Amino acid sequence: MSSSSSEPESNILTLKSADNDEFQVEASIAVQSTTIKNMVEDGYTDIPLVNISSEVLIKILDYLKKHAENSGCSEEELNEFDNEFVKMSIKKMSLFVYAASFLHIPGLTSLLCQTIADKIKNKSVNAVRRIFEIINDYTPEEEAEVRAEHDWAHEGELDDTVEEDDEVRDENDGESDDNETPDDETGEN
Amino acid sequence: MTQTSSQLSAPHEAMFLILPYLTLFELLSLTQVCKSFRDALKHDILPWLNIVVGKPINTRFSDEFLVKIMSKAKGRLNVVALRNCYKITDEGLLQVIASNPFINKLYLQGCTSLTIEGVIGAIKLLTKPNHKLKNLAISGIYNVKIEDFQTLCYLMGINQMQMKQITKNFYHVRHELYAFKQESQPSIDVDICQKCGEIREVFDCPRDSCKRRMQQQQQQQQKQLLIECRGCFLCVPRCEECGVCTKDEELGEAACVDILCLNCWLHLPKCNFCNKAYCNQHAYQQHVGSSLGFLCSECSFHATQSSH
Repeated sequence: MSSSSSEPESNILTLKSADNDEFQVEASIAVQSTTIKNMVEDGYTDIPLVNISSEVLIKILDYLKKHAENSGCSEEELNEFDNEFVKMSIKKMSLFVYAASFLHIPGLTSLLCQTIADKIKNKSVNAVRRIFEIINDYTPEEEAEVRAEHDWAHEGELDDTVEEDDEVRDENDGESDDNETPDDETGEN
Repeated sequence: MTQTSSQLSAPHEAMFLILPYLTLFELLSLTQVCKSFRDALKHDILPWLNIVVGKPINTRFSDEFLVKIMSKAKGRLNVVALRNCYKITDEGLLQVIASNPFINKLYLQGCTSLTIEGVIGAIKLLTKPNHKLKNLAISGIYNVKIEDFQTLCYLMGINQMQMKQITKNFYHVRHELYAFKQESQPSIDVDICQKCGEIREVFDCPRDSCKRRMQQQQQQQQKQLLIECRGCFLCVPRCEECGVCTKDEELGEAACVDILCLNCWLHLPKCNFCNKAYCNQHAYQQHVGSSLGFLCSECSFHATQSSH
């Protein structure tokens, strides 16, 4: 979404989202994505991204601009930006992980994956299901069988971690869960 | 408190990308969450190449489980991080090392059943020609002598002077498990403490004035980096929250056993009665009552005593 600069030398790429919106980005910024870099080296300046929505692409471009070498941001500013960046629901983050992975942006992929991974740190199996909104497709017998394989890992600790963090919901998520109490995530030991 | 089933589904594809970022406990939990995860973990070898064992399973992690889990990597283990796994013995470690010669990072902090001789034996195996071993952590292992440290540095090709200048080791972030994933880690986590001569974790100081003095000394290319406050924790006590040296400094009173500099103490919430603060790690010990704020565990205990 950056307007092209007045310098004739700077290489401007046109990124096209799945929603058919076009975004102009300086090549020097966009090549933080190895996928885009490869296409640029092959001579392309129009980059179609048919599996990335405009919403996701806009935010990713923000990230790239902030993390570009010439952005002049200090490490603290970058950390602050990253912390703000990942404040979204897990559902949304999954879309971003997918996009970042497709675009091969290692820093962003790591940031998102680690954030999601931290959300289930030390959590019980039930808590993980609720946090990720995953349906349990095991029969009770199957579940017991799988648990028995690594029984030693779950001796006694399960009860401690059943207190769940509530998922951050986006404003436009339709369903509202009656029993949801917006808690701050408590720091874990 | 059950969610409507229309919100639940099979895991999103992206979920499988987070597998390499999970510690062992979560990987094992995921096998129980649903079949997709179980199958992914059974058929994908990648998540099993980096094994990170921390709380809460460190207390139960024995040699038997070590060998069982590490065998999933089929000889291609990359990162082995066993934090405070005090049940692991030299035998178990050696078994894993013998079948995984290309380990890149080996973290054994707090594995107190290991002997330094056992560790050196393992490192010898891991530093043959064409080895991949880059990082080692042994703080907490007992009886490490200077000769042992020097042997390890020799085996791993570490230039101690160079290492001190490249990477900084800060006290307040020593617990961070996923620091393992970052690139610039020191090759070995311990050093010779300039003050006591013991082999321990030696910390740099994030305090601005100390950093400046460090830079000055580096610029003057002094042979020995004799920084006043670069030492092990016993010689140079540090603030739990921000890692600055605290000798000759006024301290804030802490409700836990940790040290707090005045600056951090000012920003932390304090006990309603005695005004002591908990560090963030120990904040779970706060006793929250009906009114605002909390009581520290000691004041809370006395309160219940006196009410009888």
